[in-house]
Amino acid sequence: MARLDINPPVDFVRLFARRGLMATTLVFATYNPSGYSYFHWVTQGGDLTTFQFFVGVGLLTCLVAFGRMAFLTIGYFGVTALSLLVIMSLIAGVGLGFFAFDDVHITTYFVLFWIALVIGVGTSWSFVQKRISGERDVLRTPP
Amino acid sequence: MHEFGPVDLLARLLSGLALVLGTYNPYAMSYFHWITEHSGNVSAKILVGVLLLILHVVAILSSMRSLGLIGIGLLTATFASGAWVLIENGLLHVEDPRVFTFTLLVILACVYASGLSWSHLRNRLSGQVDSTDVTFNSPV
Repeated sequence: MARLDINPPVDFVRLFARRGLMATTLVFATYNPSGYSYFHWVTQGGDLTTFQFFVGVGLLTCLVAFGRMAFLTIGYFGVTALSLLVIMSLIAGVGLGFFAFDDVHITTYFVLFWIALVIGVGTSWSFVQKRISGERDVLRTPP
Repeated sequence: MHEFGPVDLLARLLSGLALVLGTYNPYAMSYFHWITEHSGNVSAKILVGVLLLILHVVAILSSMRSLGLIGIGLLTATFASGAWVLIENGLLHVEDPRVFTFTLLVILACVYASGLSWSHLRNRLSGQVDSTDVTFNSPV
């Protein structure tokens, strides 16, 4: 029986690693510039086969599910905060002299990892919040 | 602590299949066949009918609550396109109307199974909790 007063420790690294890996797999399976992705499979193979259609609908379902879960947990504030964190880490890297500002290229890979980071943190945050402050993210009955 | 795993998903899938196919299937041995082709035992038929109705209502309401209309639509599209793959590759012959009905019923059972599993899966994946507001009279 799940009791609300039990607060077991959470392995944050493993928690985020698993969800981040899941999000990265999903985002990169949909599109990545290397040429091996669902996008390339569909656009370069001629006619759309039923199997491609099936995989596409399945990917869309997974992306909608993960995106919605992540967005419901962290919201606009979380997305903005994470994006700020990414940008500020770039600026801090420049400021501390790790690389020059001219070397920073916002490539497609960078944007894809950024999206995967947002989804990974979004799906992990509820566990972190439950552990540190005991608050659960609860969904209301849909209207 | 018990985590929701593949075994639990399989149990819900089998229960959904048993519920849907037990109520009606195009071959034999279903509640529908029992009430249309056999006479007598009216009280038992009504009892089983009410029981099946309750189980269907429970499955439909929990699917509506946890998946919502968008989720049900997306999952139905996924399962239907999976069936389409099987049809295209000659593994499923829907020219037979009984097979066609059977396919639709299996898709319905899969949606029931997803509806009964998704709140658990969501809690395990993202830590979010689905809830029912019992003080507010929601339509579902």
